[in-house]
Amino acid sequence: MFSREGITRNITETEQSQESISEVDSQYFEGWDDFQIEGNPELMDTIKKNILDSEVIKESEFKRLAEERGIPVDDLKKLVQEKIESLIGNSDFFTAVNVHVLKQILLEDHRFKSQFETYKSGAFCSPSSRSIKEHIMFGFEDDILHDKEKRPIYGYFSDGENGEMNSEGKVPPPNNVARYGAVSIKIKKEIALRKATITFQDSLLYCYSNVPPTPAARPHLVGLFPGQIESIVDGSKVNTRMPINPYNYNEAQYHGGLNLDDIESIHISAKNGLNRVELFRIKRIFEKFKKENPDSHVELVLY
Amino acid sequence: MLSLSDIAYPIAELGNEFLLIHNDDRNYLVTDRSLEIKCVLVNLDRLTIDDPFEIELHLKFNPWEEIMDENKQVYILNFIQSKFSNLMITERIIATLEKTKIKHP
Repeated sequence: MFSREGITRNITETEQSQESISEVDSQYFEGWDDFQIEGNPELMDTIKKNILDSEVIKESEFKRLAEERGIPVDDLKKLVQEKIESLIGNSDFFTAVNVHVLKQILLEDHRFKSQFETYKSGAFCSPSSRSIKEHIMFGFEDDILHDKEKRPIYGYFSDGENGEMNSEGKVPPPNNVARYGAVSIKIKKEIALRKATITFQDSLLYCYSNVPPTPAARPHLVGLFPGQIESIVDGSKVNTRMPINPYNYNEAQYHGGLNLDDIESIHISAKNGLNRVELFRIKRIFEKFKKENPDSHVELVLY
Repeated sequence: MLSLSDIAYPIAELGNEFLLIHNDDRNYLVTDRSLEIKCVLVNLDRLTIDDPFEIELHLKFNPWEEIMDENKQVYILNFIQSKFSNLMITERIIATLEKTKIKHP
């Protein structure tokens, strides 16, 4: 399974020549040095390395897919790259929280917290394995005490206006992410594009699958599994509110912290699993928040 | 017959939501196999018990707080027993955690 030694070995194995950059990558990395995502200083270099490593590993897969369709590999890559950019361009960005966390964000902390901040020394639930993965994915220092308030905050992206995310592309049934929280908080898009990376599945799986997070403002085709690439090429993948794996979701990782000013709206519905008491509590919390923050533009959307 | 406290260990809380893992799986926390640990989420506001799910994924998504006070753990288990039927506890928590617990080695 997962170990520091295993990770080191895996990275070493993937450190193959990065000289044969494809035409798509040449265009993709144009101006990369001037492009920034807010977050830890190592973030951009780590993302670039992971993309290039992943592309080397996936080259045979791209060749197979291109051959099956009778088109050059570069044409296939261009097609997928254009479509992934279009899919993300049409998407909005969310987090999923429960009523308790919503209250903490709006009335107490005025920002989002991760479990790195609530972890107590000596406890069992150490986020140490996540720390390793965040080091691999984002270059974040592998130290659970380091810059805890700047750790990535996890959410999702969807082109559904209320953050719909399930096999139907609508609510009901509840979103796949409702298990994490039935309240969807929409992040301002301009903020998300400055702070987020994305994956088309749970990012913790990256270390096993070579599907790295790539910037929301500049998504890269290596962020897709082969099956997802096929769906995109064949035209069956046309939105981001219906994940290809019915139990999965499209994940966003927000870097550098999220706070109240980053929120656009809060989306709640009985159809997404909230009961009447919870809906009532949310309305009360929101009223209090508005009273304390009369200039806030955050909206509560009941759908 | 196995009781709830024989099997379930309330490990984390988030308001009125609680994550329960199998007592034996505590040995795998903070190990290379932690991603394999399944938990059951009990929501005492909605009186629901979710299907088993990887605890690491829950912990990643929200600022869960670990329950370290043994008295509180006992209180939570008692509270759960007072809110759900024996059948529901047996099927949805005890049998589920027995089924999903990590097999050694």
